[in-house]
Parts: sequence; structure tokens; C-alpha cells
Amino acid sequence: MFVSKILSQVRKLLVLVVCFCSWQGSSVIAQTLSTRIDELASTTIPSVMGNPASDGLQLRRLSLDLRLTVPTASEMDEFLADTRPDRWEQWVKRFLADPMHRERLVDWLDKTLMQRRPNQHVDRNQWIAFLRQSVDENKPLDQLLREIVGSTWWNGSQRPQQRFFLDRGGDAHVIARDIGRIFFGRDMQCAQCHNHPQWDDYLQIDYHGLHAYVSPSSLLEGKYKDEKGAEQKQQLYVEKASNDAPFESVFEKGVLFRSGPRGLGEVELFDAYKTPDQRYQSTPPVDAYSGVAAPPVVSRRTALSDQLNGSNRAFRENWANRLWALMMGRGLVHPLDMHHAENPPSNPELLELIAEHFVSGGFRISDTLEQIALSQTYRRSVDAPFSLLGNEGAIMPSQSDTTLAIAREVKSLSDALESSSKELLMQVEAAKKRMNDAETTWLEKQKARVEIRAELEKSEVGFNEQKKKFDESNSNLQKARTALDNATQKAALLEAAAEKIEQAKALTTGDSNDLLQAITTARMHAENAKKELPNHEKSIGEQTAARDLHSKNVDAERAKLLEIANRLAQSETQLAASDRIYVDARMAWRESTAKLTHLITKQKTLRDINAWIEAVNSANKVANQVAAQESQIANLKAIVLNKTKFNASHQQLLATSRSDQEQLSKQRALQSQLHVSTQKQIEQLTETAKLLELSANILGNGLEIQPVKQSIAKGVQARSEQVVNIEATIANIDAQLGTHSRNQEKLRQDMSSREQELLVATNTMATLESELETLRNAFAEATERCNASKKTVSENCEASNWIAGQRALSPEQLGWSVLQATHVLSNYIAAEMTELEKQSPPAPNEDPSTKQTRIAKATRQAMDKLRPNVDVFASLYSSGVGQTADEFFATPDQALFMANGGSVFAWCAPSGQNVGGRILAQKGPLAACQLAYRALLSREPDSAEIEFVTACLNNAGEKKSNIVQEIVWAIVTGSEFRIYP
Amino acid sequence: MKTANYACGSVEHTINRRRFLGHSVAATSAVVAGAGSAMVGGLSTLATGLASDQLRSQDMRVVVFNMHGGLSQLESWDPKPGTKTGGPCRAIPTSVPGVHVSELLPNTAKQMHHLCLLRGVNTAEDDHGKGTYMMLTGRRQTGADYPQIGSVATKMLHDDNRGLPGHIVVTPGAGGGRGNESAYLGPKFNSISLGGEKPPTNSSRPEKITEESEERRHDFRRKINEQFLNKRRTAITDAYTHSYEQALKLMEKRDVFDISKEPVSEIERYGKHDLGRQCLMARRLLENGVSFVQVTHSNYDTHNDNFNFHIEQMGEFDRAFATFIADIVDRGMLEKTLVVVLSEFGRTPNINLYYGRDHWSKAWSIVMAGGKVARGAVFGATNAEGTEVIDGKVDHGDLFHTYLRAVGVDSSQSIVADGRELPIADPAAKPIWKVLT
Repeated sequence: MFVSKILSQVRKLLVLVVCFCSWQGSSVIAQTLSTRIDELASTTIPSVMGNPASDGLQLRRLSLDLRLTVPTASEMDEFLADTRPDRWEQWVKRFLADPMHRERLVDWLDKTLMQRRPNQHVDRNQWIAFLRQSVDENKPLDQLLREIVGSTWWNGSQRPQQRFFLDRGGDAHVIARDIGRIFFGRDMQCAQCHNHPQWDDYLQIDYHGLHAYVSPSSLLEGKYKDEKGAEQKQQLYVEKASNDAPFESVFEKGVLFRSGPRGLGEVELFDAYKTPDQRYQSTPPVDAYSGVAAPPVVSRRTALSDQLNGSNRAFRENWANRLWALMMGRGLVHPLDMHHAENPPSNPELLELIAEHFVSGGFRISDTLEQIALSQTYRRSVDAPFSLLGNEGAIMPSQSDTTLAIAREVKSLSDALESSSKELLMQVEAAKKRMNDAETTWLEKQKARVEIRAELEKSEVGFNEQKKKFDESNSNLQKARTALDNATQKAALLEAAAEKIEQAKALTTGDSNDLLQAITTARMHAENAKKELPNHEKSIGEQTAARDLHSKNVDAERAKLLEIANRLAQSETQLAASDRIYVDARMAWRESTAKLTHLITKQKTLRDINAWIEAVNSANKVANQVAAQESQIANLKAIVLNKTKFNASHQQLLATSRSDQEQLSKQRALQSQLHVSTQKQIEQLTETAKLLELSANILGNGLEIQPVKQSIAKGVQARSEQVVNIEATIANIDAQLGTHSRNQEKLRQDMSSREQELLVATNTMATLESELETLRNAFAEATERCNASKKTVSENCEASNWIAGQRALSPEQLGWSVLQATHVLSNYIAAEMTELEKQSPPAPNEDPSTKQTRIAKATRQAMDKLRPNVDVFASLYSSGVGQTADEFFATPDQALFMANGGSVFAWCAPSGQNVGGRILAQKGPLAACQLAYRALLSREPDSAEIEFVTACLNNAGEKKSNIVQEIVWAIVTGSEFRIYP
Repeated sequence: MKTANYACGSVEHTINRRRFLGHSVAATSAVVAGAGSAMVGGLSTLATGLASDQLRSQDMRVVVFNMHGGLSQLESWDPKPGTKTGGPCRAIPTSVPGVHVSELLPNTAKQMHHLCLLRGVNTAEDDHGKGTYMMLTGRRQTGADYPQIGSVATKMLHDDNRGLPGHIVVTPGAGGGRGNESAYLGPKFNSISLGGEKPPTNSSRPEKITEESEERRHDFRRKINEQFLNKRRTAITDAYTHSYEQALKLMEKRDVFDISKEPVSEIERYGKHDLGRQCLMARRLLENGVSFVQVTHSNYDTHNDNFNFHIEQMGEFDRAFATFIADIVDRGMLEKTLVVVLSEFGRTPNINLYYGRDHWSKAWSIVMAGGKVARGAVFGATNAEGTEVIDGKVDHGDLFHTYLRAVGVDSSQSIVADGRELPIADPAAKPIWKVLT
């Protein structure tokens, strides 16, 4: 007790240490698969690894992957409030222990194995019950598959397992193809009629090798007695003795091949030869229905089931890949059934690692799923961080240090690859040559085998004829013996009868003639019968002789057959030896090719990153050019503006000067007039003074002219002075006018030179602008290249598992998630629990495991009741029958279903504890909005979402219940609900 | 073909991407579609001119009449009157001088100048299921599945923005779900089946939801969704969002599926029986932008009493088919619509003890019309008693190529599905160029 406690403590500690290490990505204790996954699925290149997704979305993803549904609202609350350091580990464990996890595995097994094929001959419920039981027992996957393949038609209890064959109509080609795809990860369909034209390792012999496992089996209507002895009629998948028919390539007619069973990548198996009469078991197996055909001595299906184990590489890698895809949405080899040399795993080491873990852990599905879930790789966001390289849409600011660092890393990785890829290429060529040589030898041996087989089959015809004759003679002999026996017995009986009648006669009184006659008749018949005996004996003798003769003939034919069979065996031994070499050579070639292809892919990934950096750099360069050009244009514009302004002011000055000049000219004209009139006045006054003098001289007496003379002289004097003034004024005006003219001339010159400059500037600007247009186009193109390049890098990162893949929920995940998010599933489970507890009330001190069992039962019952709803989702959202995986697609009939059909809208109506009901019960719109987003989308709403929902709820008034229903529906039918978190 | 460019690498994305790139084109054609909505319902006959103009500007369409069970070529397209295999029916002249068909097709005979008879079909497969598969996929059945002509045509011809599904199968019985014809092309190209001439499932608003609530919930959906798309937008989210808008468009156009909107006289012209109504439905669907319609006429498997059965069946077919051809010619749709009348096989020239004819795939006939198919033509011939093809021998693979070429699709191309490159038609076969113009 104490020891176990300590052990459990140690275990807990170990978990902590391990998970600490896994968080650090360190390899101090690199023991767990999850840490190894992280080591292998990461890169030294900075900036291309995804960050962890947000907590809520991580839980949503985990829940969808392990349980088919989104987490419930209360699980979300609990998870977000969980502060344990090993919270993630605890929740992974919790979901793995959840009853829904088992249903998830059943769903995965069902879809993987049956690919949504409809029921034909086996009730789907029986099949599901078989899968459930297997999951409940935690049955190893290889064992489960062997049970399916090795199940027998004569045993009624194995009918569910037979569904794999029965519901494929027993068609050998369909089954061979699906065994290739589902069990070994290779769709060999293309190789049915010829070798694959493009892929060197998809060979026709591989297809026929697979086909040989199932070609002896087909559907037959069987009549048999069931356990209760009642006669039943049913299609049974019956195996007969094998007869591998010859085949040829449509490209090379006339060259015949034969193939016994051959696992993919394995050598052909040769059955020991059996003559036609020794191929079936003589007594039916113990557990057989009575009346079914006897099984062959050698069962090809048993041979196939022997291939289904960890030593078959194609088998183990296929299942490892499928488990990876179950969790990650995409296989390391993708598509899942396209494993071939030119489509190698995106990470071969990782695939091998998971395969090893799965095989050494005993093919326990959930153990491997757990390890994947615990890795950091699993928890990465779908968003590429690319933080250092700028975000979506925007061209990053030049960060030469970072980009240089990336470029350096890329270059060093790339250089390392370059030299190893050269080496590998040589290896591939050498391997190819070895393979071709091995093929030539193998073809020769194969030809010899085909010939001997044909000879053998021809001889079998003779054998069968003799055998038929022998059987006939044997049956004739039996008839003769029976006839003799009958006659002997008849005689004895008749004699005994005569005896008895005689005794009766002795006891008879009276007439007994009729008895006497009877005695006579009986004796007569007895005599006759006795007479026949020698004939019968003779016939027996003849028939025995005939039989012995035929027996000898049969023996002779048998000896012939065995002689040929002996040669066949020798030829097969040789063929097997060359086959071993051929298969090994193929495997070596395949491996080296796969390595090379993987290297080339790696190189491409690096080159793509480089191309992206270059694209970003060159976009940045163009962006810089655009900016420079733009600033140059802006400068020019300023200059032009300046000069234009300057000329405008000159124009102003010129105009002012011109108007001043006009004013001056006017003044000058006035002064000139004044000058003229004053001169005239002077002349008149002078004339008047002369006349006055003359008159005084003539009259001479007494006229007193002196005062007048004086006054005139005064007037002349004054006017002369005026003239001088006027002349001075005019001279002044003329001087001013001259100045104006000179000024104007200068202004005109200035303006003219500026205009010249403006013209030049405008022309330059036009050129620059047209260049800018070109640059801008170049920038748009560079941006386009950046985005395209980034997309490629994203794709590569996703293929390398550096970021999570973008995908949609499977139809079942969508259906169950809608039921879970709207609380319908929880209600159903609760109802089933109540019912179960009513049927058998739990004891007061009930063992917790009993309760767990009850919950599991209630969950299963609830899911069974709701399954018809999910089946509708499957019918609308699935890729249909026979597809490897459900590809996303969107059609209006899906949307019509979500909007108008079924009950989706009704499920969204607020009621009780469902999300609508709880939203209504919230006090404020903020809390209501948070609840809605947390419960339905596993995240917090952003501010715009809060604003929108708040407004809707605030304006709801009396219709609040309707509005809540509509909002819930709107979220459930939105894109976010449809895609992977 | 270019492979997918989106992160997850699925083919779906390429398709979606193309659709979204095609959005601007769709926006312009939406104007046309707005005008075209007058065609919905009983107005279609009035809007004939408009309809034909619109159709000419749009893509090609295909309609297949599947004569289920195996139509007798001798009682239809390749009569051999007066021979020991000919049976009691006479041959009558048609609108093409020198070409005769069975007297059971008097109305169709008048449309012969639009049709092209192929009388040299040899498919060498006498099983109903396998024969049907071959005629509809152009391939023999193997382990892998191939898409039917309806899915291929829809993928190649249909534009999602027309508001109606691209691939519709009109079935006489119940139905209403999605078919399963698309194989690796993906379920998007499966048919929607219209059982008993009823509109597609879930295409009407449930009574419980008021008009107001309907508008509001879709408004909420758009706004809440947009908010998310601002943060993360991928091909998946775009396609998913788009499907809801397509659904609303389909609900608006729901009347297209209601042939009671047609005047009684129209229904009478086609014949008041299942096939007549289905042919009328086919016409309405093609007029309104559905790219592929398949109508099935059942059942021609006449091992007993071949002649009486054919008189009855051909009676229905002749009238409905001839009216259909005349109508699409009137509407100017024939250049854009490939019409095919096919079966899984023909029937034996030999008449058995029960006055029946048995399965016969070595020498039989199909009919094509419209698109790039030559009009009023006969290609191929059988011998005097119809027991052997003597000229123009073709098989299901050749026919499949020819259907595609007839609507302008390059049948030599491949598509990439799930990492595999797959030729859309059997590369071993080739188009019958002589019947294509």
C-alpha cells in the first residue's frame, strides 16, 4: 500500500518533469513520443513556426478530435479556471476517459473501414456493436483487423466482421483495391491493367498480389441451419480453393504473368501444390453451420491476416499515418492512400517514429493519440506567425537583420542539402539499375513458372477426367454392392416371412389356403432373389476391376501432376530467390527515391522561403522607389507653386507701374497745355506793352502809361516764372516715366525667365508622374508576388506541421457539435441517466466506476437516439461512399437544411439550461455575449462583437427570446462554427 | 490543370477560388438575371424573346432523356420494316428527306431536321446496371468509380450564382435528396433530385418562422460571420458563407420548380402524364439556368409483348419529346442545349416466343441534338436486319467525348482530384467529330 503510494507520487512527479520538458521543447528526458514529435516537427528557421493556439481553441480542438464534439460551456469555464501546472495533460486524460471518446474511435473505425458504404448484407447495428465491443476491450488495432480479415463465413457469430467483404458485394477487385488503400495506404487501382505510367513502384504484380488474397472468395447464397436448426438463406462470403488466373499488361499483350498472394512491398507467397481432389477440407469445421460448403485446405484470407502485423512496413506506416491524420487533419503522407516513392511522407522520420511507438505499444490507438495530443506540434495555431516578416496584406518594414538571419539559415540548410542530394541522386540511379537487373532475372524465372503452371493446368484436365471416371466407377461399384446387399437381405426377409406365416398357419383353424399361397409366393420371390445373387456378385467383380483400373489411371495422372508440380516447386524456389532480390532492390530504390524526393521537397521549402524573402525585399525596394519618387514630385510641385506665385506678384507690379505711367502721362499733357497757354499770355502781354508804347509815342501827350506798363511787365514776369516752373515739372514727369519704362522692362524679363523654368519643372513632373505610375504597378505586382509566395510558404509550413492545417469539421463532428452546443445532447444523456437510475437505483455508497459505467451507457443510448439527426448531416456534408476522406464542400442544400430543415433552428430556442436559456438568465448584455461566444465558439467575444450583440439584446424588447434564438442560430451557422479551431 | 492554391491543397479550393474570382462577372450578370426573373412561373411563355436573349449570353446546358430498361431501336430510330426482324411497325418519312423513323414517332419525325441519329452504337454490354453505368460515365465499371455526365457537365458548365442548382434529376417517384453521381469530382456535383415534380427539400421557410424573424436571423448571421471573416478568411469560410446566400436565392426562385404555374394548355401540349410534366419541368429548369437535367422514362425492358409496350411508351414519349424540342427551338435555346436520348442498350432484332425483344448492345441507336451537334443528320448504319453495325460504329466512350465536345468542353482535359490526375473522358476513346459542327 505504502509502496504503491510512493510509486504513484513518483509517477506524478515524472509527469510533471516530462511535461515541463515538453513545454521547453528540450530533450533532457526525450523519452516520450510527444517530445520526440516536437523535436522532429520543428525547424531552426526563425519565424515560420506557429504559436500555440489560444487556450479555449486548444480545448475545442482536443474535444473535437477525441470526442467528436465541441466542449460544453461548463467544460470551457472549468478549463479556463484550471490553474494546475499539468492542466493540459489532465484534460487530455479526461477526454480520453470520456465515453464520447470511445464513440469517436468507433466512428473513425467505421468510416475508415467501411467508407460510408450502405448496409447490404449485414445489419449496421451489429457491425457497430462489434466495433464498440472492440473499443471497450481496448483491442489492439492489428488484432481487430485480423479478426475482420480472418473471420469465417461458416460461423454465424463472425458475421459482423464479415461486413467488410459482404457490403462490398464480395467483389474481388473492389476488395483488393480497398485492402490496398485501407490496410496498406496504397490505392493500386491504376495498376490493375498495367504498371503505373508515372510511379515506378505501383506495379501490376502488386495489384494482382493483393487480388490473389481475395480472388478465391465471392458471394454465394448459402442455405444453412442456424444454431436453432432453422433453415436460413443468406449471402455468404465463401472462399474456394485458389486458382490464380494469368494476366497481362494492356501495354504489352501476350506476356503472361501469374501471381500468388503478395503483400505490398513483400515477396510472393507460394502455396504447396495440391492435386484438385485434395484442395478442400473433407469434414466441416467444428463451429460451422450445417450445410455450408467445405472450406479450402489453404485459406488465402488466413494468409492475408498473417500479413497484418507490425513487421509489415506498409501496414504499420499506413496506420501510423492514419492516426496522425485523425488528430492533425492531414496525413504525413497525403492523400492517405497514396504512399509511393514520389509522394513520400512530409517527415519520414516522424512517420517511422509514430509507427514504432504504435507497434511497440501493442497497437493501442488511444495511447498514440494521447502522445500526439500532448505534443506542442498538436497545439499550434492555424495562423502562421511570420511576425518578423510582416503580416497579411502589409509589406513589412525593412528589417534587414532578421531577413538576413533567415536567409543565412536557409542558405546553410540548403547548402547542406545540395551536397547530400547529389550523393543521393547517384544512389537512386545505382538502385534503379540494380532493380532493373533484378527485374530482368525475375521476369525470366516468372516466365518459366508461367509455362510450368500452364502445363500443370493442362494436365489437371486429364487428371480430372480420370478422377471423374474413377468416381463414376466407384459409384457404380457402390451401387452393385448395394444391389447385392439388397437382394441378399430381400431373400432373407422373404424366407423369414414365409417362416412366420407358416407359424401363423399352424395356429390357424379352418381355411388357410390364402396363407399357403402367401408362403408359396414368398418362397418363390426368395428363390428368385437368390438366383439374382451371382449376377450381382459378377457385376461387383466387374465394377471392382473397372474401379481398380480407373484408380490406377488416377494414380498415373496424379504421378504426372506431382512430377510437374515438383518441377513447378523447383521453378518457384528459383523464382522466390529472384523475387527476394527483386523486392529488396525495389525497396532500396524506393527508399532512396523517397529520401531524394523528400530532400527535394525540403529544398523547395527552403527555396520558397528564400523566394518569399526576396519577394518581400524587392517589394520593399519598389516601395522605397515609390516613396522617393513621390517626394521628388512633391518638391517639384512646391517649386512650381513658388515660381507661379512670384510671377503673379510681378504681374501685379507691372500693372501698378503701367497705371502710374498713365497717370504721369496725363499730368504731363496738362502741364504742356499750361506751358503753351502761359507762353501765349506772355506773348500777348508783350504785344500789348508794345502797342501801348507805340500809342503813347503817337499821342505823346499826357497819357500816363507808365503804371500800365509796369503792371504788364509784372504780368510777364510772373508768367515767365510760371513757365520755368512748368518746364521743371514736365522734366520731373519725364524722369519718372523713364524710370517706369525701365522697371517694366525688367519685370517682363524676370517673368519670362521664370516661365521658362516653370515649363521645365512641369515637364519634369509629368515624366516623374508617369514613372510613378509604372512604379506603382510594379509595386502592386511585387505585392502580389509576396502574397503568392507567402501562401506557398504557408502551405509548406502546414505540410511540415510547423503550423496547424486549415480544415472543416467532419460531418459527424458538425452534427454532434450542433447537438452539443445547443445542449440537446446533454439533455438526452441526462434523460437516459434518469431512466437508468429509475430502473436500478444507485446504492448509497456506490463505487465510482459503477457510475462511470452508467454514464457511458447513458451516453451511448443518447447518441443512438440522436444518431438519425447526425445521419442527416452525414448525408449532406460527407464526400459519399468509397472516398478516402471527407473533403470540405459547401452546397445550398446543406444551408437549406441548417435554415429550414430538421430541427436546427428549434434546438437554438432558449430553454432551461441550454445556451439560449442561460443567455436570457444573464443580468447584463455583456455577460450574455461572453456566455454565447464561450459556449458556442470556445472564445471570448471581441469589442465589436460585444457591441453588436449588446445592441441586439438592448433593442429586443418583448422579442428577447426570439432574438436570442436567432443569435444562437446565427453563430451556429456561421463559418467559425464550421471550421477547425 | 492548375492545382489548388489554398493552404489545405484541396481541389475544392481551386473551384471556389475560381468562383470568387468570377464574382465580378456574376455581379454584372445579376442585373441580367434580375430581368430574367420575369421568366419564373407562368410568365415564361410571354418572356420568350427575353429568355432566348439571355440564354444565348450564358453557358451551355445538357438534357438527357434516359429510356430506362432498353429502348428498342427497331421501334424508334432504326426501323427495319418488312424484314424478319422488323416487327409489325412501319417506317415513316421525316422532315429530313430520305430519313425514316418508326411510325411510333409521328411528332418527333417532324422535328427530325433538328436531330442527329446515331445508328451504329455498339457497347457490348447486356447488363442493365453495367450498361447504364457505361452510357452515363463513358467508362466500363471497375473498382474505382467515375463521375456521370451530369456531374461532369455541371462542373464544366454551371455557374453557382445563377441561384439554382446545376445538376437536377427529375424522378417520377418520391425523392428529393441528393444523388450520388459525382465520384471523385466531389459531392458538390451530385444531383438534386426532384421527386414527383416537387421543389428541392427544405426550400421553403418553415411556417413557424415569421418573415421578420427570417430576415433578422439571416442579418445576424451575416454580421456575426463578417466579423469573424475580418479576422480569418479562407476558401472554406468563403464557400461556406456563399452557400447560405445561394440557398436564399434558391428559395426566391422556388416557383421555377412549380409547374402548376404553367397554364393548363401548356401541360396539355406536353401530355398529361408523368413524362409530359417532367419534360415541361425540364424546359423550365433549363430556361432558368440549370446546367444539367436528366429525365427518366420507364420502363422499356420488353422481354414480353414488345410491340404493345412500345406503342404505349412511345406514344407518351413522342408527344412530350417533340413538344420539348419544338419549344427549345422556339426559344432559341437549341444552340446552347445538348439533348441526348439514350438507354442502357437496345433490343434484339430477333423477336422471341413472347413477342418480346431481349437485351441487345451490339447494334443500336441513340439520338443527339443541339449544341454543336449536326442537325438533320444520320451517322452510322446497321445491316438490313439490324443485326450488325456496318458503318459508323461508336461506343459509350466515344459518345461521352462527343457529349462534352457538343457543349464546347475539351474532352481531352484532366482534372486533379485528391492528388490524382484524372482524364474527364476515357483517353482510349475519342469524339465523333463527324457529328460535330
